[in-house]
Amino acid sequence: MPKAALSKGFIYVILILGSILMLLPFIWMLSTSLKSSGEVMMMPPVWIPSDIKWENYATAWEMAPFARYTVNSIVVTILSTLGELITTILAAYAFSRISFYGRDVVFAVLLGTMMVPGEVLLIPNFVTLSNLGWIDRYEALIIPWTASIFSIFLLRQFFLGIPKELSYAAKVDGCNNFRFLWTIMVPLAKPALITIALLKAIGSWNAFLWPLIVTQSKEMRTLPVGLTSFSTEAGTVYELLMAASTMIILPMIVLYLILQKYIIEGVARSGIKG
Amino acid sequence: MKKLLLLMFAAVLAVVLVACGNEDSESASAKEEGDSKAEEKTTENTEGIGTVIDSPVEIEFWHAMSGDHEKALAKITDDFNASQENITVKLVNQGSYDDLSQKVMAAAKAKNLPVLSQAYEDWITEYLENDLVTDLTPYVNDPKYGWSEDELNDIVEIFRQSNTWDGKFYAMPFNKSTRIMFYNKDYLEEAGLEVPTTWDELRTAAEKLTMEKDGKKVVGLGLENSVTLEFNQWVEQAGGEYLDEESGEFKLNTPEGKEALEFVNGMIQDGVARTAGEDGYMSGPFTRGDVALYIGSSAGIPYVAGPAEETGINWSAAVLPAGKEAATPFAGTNVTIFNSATDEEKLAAWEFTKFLINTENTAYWASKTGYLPVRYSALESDAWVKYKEENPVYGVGEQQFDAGFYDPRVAGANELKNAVAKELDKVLLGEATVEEGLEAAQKAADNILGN
Repeated sequence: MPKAALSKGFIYVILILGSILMLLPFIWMLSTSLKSSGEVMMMPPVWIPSDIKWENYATAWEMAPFARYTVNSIVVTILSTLGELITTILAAYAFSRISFYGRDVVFAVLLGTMMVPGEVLLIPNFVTLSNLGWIDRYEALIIPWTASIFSIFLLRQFFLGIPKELSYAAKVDGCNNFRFLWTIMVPLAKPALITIALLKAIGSWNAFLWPLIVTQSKEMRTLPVGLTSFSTEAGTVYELLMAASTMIILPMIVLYLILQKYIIEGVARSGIKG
Repeated sequence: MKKLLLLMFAAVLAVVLVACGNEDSESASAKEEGDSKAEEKTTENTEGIGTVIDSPVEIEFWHAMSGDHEKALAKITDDFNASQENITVKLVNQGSYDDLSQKVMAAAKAKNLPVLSQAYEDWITEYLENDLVTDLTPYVNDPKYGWSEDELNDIVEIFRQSNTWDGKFYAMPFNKSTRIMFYNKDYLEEAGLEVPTTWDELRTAAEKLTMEKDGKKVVGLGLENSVTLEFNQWVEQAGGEYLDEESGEFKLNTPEGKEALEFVNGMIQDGVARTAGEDGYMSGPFTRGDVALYIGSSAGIPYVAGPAEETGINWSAAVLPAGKEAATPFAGTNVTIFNSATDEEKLAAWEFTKFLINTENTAYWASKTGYLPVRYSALESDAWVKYKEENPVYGVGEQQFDAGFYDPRVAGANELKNAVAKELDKVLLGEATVEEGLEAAQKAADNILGN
């Protein structure tokens, strides 16, 4: 069937072009991270540096206390992801399976808060945290991020897709809500949960403005804040910035590759794009 | 489903309304509290600075210096801390200037401002309006802790002026830069040209230097993307003014403003000048040899020097060409002390400020960063003279001190400059005529200034 083969070939051409397009910035980042400062600005861009400068990585690493930043990033990412999973599971279950007075109103109000842009909340949130005495502490970096309306919505939709009959059957067998949630719903919702965790982990790992605003000391800062070491008002040291960026995004790329198939499943099933 | 949607809409509306309402009342109450606090403070201030520091005081200095700049600042701070028995200064890097400004605003509302911060002049105007900064004049004049007249007048005049509001000092100059003209020595030599010193010479040079060179196109003059944001340079050179600080009147839509815009726009439309565009900063195209002349910040010297060494560009720098007048903007931040600090903290901060910009340290700072020394005496200091011998371009900035002027210091200056730049950009892009651009800029400025 030449026609089918042709259309299949066509699809592959488009897909390959698409993936090249998506990969290009990463390749550029990688190649820039190995260039000398003179080559960075060459036009047309030099793709393979004439003199590969591995030392850019060492120099970049020394420009800021990246070791400490890495520890902080890991702690913050893991704890806020775990926290968010717990609150999300509980809230999504309540909103999808337990009927209580005013449930839909509460849910609608929660969804409404998604419409408020984060920038507006920055100063009020800062004031709140400062009143709590959390500035420059892990609490400020983690606790405000342990709940996400978007995740609750995502998981609620997923839960709604699980047949009610399961819970009826469980109830008949004398299973309470909590046990039903942990032993039946959560395992069934694994793809959605992994999606939520991964989106959260990436977001938390890359967060810049919030960690910068709520911390004061180098000991409390996270990796993206370290990237500011390479820019000043008059210019940016691109080769070092790219070397540091490469090091920083590597863990997230690895994590994504490992969990990729769940992400697609989770997003596709719930019908929502992340 | 329809019901749910309606409900959601109502909820969103409710949330937004509540949020807006809160915002207003909150900021109002914050301001009230701020005011009453400020009153208390002023009464305290009249007691003078009879304070002595006899127990340990730790103060925070918020800054936006990174990389080598941060290292140099840390060295000076360490030296200070080592020299002091009771005062410890803690440096806190707050990211970029934008981040720093946001954070100071947030901290002001949360009432946990640091003792010291870097700040641009227009920020300080805003802090002044909100009663956040300390008048440093009593400190400057204090017989024990202050400066002698000579020591005060040793600070470069333009920097003294830019830190004075109604005859009072509210900050001291720290990291100051200026704009200079970089030039490609080889290109100029080949074309048989001298370094342009006037607008006419600049125009002629830009024309002659726009050429084909080894199969690539060279444009005569390179300008930063921020040229319209920093357009006051050109207006002042044309003999005009960007904004009258006293009356708060926007002055670009005048014959001088028109002359300035026609001059810059003319060169761009004729293809003898270009902006950095997607290159971000002009240092890129300049070190590639794509432009022959380049007007930009002296803070950009390291970004030219590094790559130029590799690409083999033979370059130097000179003072800005003069129009009707020689006029050079001086930018960069100052050190200001917030009045939420205790008297001891303020005094400690003042001691640090003095140390930071003493002759030796301002020379050291300048030689490590490319910023300008802020004291005349530092210009002759051994460290700086030696440094200039090795790096002659760093000596260009100080030759323009007498032609110096500073950015408008009105509150909201940033918003104003951005709105005006947006209109002027349209002219440079050929979307509007010079007259239309100036009209629109005037309208935008009046809107913001409330004229």
